[in-house]
Amino acid sequence: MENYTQAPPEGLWEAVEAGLPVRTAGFPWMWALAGVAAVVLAVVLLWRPAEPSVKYAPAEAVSQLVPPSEEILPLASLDQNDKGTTHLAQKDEETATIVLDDTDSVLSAPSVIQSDSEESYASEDSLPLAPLGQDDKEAAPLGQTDEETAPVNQKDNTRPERIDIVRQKTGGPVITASLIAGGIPGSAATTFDTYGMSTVANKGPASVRMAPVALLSRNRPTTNEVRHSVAMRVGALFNLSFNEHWGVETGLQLSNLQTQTKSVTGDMTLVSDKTISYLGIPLLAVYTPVRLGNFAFYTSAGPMFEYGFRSFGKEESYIGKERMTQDKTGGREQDAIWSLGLNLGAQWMIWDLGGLFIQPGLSWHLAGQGNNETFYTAHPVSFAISTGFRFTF
Amino acid sequence: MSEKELARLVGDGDPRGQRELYLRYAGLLTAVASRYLQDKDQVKDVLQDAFIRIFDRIGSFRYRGEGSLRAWMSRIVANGALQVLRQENRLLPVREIPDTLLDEDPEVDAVPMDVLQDMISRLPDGYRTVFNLFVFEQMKHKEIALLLGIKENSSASQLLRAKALLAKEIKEYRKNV
Repeated sequence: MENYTQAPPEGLWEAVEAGLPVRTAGFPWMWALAGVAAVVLAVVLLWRPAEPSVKYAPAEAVSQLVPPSEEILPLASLDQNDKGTTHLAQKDEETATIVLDDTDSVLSAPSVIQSDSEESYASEDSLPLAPLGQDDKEAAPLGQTDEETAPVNQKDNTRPERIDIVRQKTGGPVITASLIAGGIPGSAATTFDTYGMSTVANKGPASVRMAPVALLSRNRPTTNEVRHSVAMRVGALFNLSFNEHWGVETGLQLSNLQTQTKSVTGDMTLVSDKTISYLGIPLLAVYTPVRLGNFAFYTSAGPMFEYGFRSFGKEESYIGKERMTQDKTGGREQDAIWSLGLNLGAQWMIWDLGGLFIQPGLSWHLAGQGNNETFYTAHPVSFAISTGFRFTF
Repeated sequence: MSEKELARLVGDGDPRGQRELYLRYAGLLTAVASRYLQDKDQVKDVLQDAFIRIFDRIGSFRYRGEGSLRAWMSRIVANGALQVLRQENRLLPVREIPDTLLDEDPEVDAVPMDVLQDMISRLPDGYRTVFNLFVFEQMKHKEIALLLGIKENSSASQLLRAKALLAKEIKEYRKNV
């Protein structure tokens, strides 16, 4: 008789079809966000800051080495060597380096250079501070008409015997990659339900499985204790800095959301433990207002899309202390959730490779989403602390 | 298409898979619901809710071999029917059987399936529920007792009474054939 069939009631399929959720094409947010993340990653990996280049050094750049009272001759364009600088002296070890930015402003220039030998300037092997581009040893030095003398710092009577002028492009993109780890401790909510299939069976994450307990309650109160938590959160993020202050961050983040339920009716207990894994793609704007030495303080904000793709767990029932049933649960999930995040962070650059960071932040998970009751539905606004290591390359 | 492939197709939300699942199992699940409920409208309501729940929760279904999908769906239908019976307080035990018939097992081989189905559906609610859970859902008395909120020996005695009533029905049928 177990294979016995009967004609289904008339109109059953139409009634079932009418009760199914409407499938809309919907915008493929997951794919769109993944595409944006891929573009950002491609830019991060392919875009390299321009090499330092030397085009010319305006007179002001040299003025720090030359007393203001001295006449300064304009300089011609430099010929670039393979390092992008022009060495004016071949022999000596004393070098003054002037660094210019995109606007020809001087970023750095030494004010005093010690020279071991006052005669090094007059050496045939060393070039005078002639107009740049010239290798004529007989060329007049900058600011001087007398070939016997060189620009001299009036204060200490020293002079640089070699000047490297380097054009450094500032504001170029800086690439960082970070690994994060963290979690959010759980919170418990206890509810008391009186007997009735309609009340107990429709509440809580294990509503279907709680039906046997409800059937047994027979007007006895049922106590439900539900605890939600973010058991684990790890991720790999990439940050693209456009300039000293602004950047964008994206990557992948895996979160395990755990829900533990305990339902007690008299001496009957139903216990369930379910974990849902969510894969998230954040897209954050990052602003760094303050850098103090090796420390940087920043803030970031933006949306994140998370997709719950699998669940696993177990369910057990007890009468008294005797376990009656034990089942493993789990399988594929299809749960999509959007959230907005706001973070504050502090980073300590340990070495050139990167540094440690700590980042507390708030997340707001939009209401009416998802098919499961999780930490996100119980606590739409939540506080979390992420820590990790940020690689710079 | 195998049961496993069908479950995966439905799990992806494919409307064709849903239709295929319905066409393949609607008759079987209708028979399951009819074993618990006599009212045709209640049978239809239970089946409608069951199919919607099946399509909604098939993502969490774990395939455990041929027949596991059918067993899972049958359990969902049975639970839905039990919920109706429970809400109408129709799961109380019945004591109407003469003791002289308690030792006889029903001889079902000579009885057509549709006749037997009809006999089962006419059993009192409490007997019919225990009979269906024990015979068709293959639950143990301990599990039936947990599910229905009765004692384990009550489940056993109600199964015995259900079998006795069926035996009586079958005897009368064979006399009239």
